[in-house]
Amino acid sequence: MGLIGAIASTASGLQAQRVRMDVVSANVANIDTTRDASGGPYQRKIVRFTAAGQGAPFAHLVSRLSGQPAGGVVLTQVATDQATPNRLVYDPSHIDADADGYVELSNVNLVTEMTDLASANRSYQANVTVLNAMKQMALRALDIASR
Amino acid sequence: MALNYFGDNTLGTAHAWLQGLSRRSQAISDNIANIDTPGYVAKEVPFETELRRQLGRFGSPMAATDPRHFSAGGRSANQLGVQQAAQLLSSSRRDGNSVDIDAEMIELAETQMRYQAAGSALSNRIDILRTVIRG
Repeated sequence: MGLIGAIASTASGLQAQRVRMDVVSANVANIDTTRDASGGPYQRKIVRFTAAGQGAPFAHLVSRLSGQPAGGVVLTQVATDQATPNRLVYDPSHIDADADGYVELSNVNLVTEMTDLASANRSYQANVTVLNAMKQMALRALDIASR
Repeated sequence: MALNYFGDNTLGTAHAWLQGLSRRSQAISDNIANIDTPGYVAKEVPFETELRRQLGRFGSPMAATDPRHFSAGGRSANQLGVQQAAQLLSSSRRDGNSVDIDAEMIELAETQMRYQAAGSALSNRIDILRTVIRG
């Protein structure tokens, strides 16, 4: 079951990186949001990855059938970044400006998000490379006694 | 796992080789899936030493020319476990993740090529057996 398990791990990696890119795009889209559901400015979201495929149903099934520990990665949490302070911009004409004329914007930093996006992109590519390699190996295995 | 079919080591050897390589590929894909997981320790499957030791039990056993030599018998190839790789320079990341993407990619390419080679060896051997059976 090694190769199929490997493909399941890779699939979990692809999924996790894709959600990470979704989170980055949500952050960038809300970079100037001054009011969200909580009433305050938008707080950037961050993902938490955890090893081992307990949460991924397919990987879990594969590990149960093969008797090997489940591999791969699980995105366990999309948390809110509380550590980064919000941006304060002087703009008295803004509808959410306070008495001193300052607007509290989201704590999204475009440079951080872009770096994260590039990193997610590269990790996704690495997983695709592994997937292709596993596919080729599985095809070779199928070919062994086919003549 | 029997390493000996039809009195022939080649099939069993290629089988064990393919199995080891597929477990290694599982470890590589786990490592790459967890490239961004904080605190993840990379896995590796160093099965070749064990395979060599197993092969030593057939055909050409390792000669013990010194009383301090270990015996050639070992665990069966089926019990080959996944180990956590030694943390070398690649563990210098701040999040404690020890996956070295370059090393993993190189190992992936190598595993793929070795798998092709083992597959070819097995195919050739099966062809020979088929010829022998059919005449």
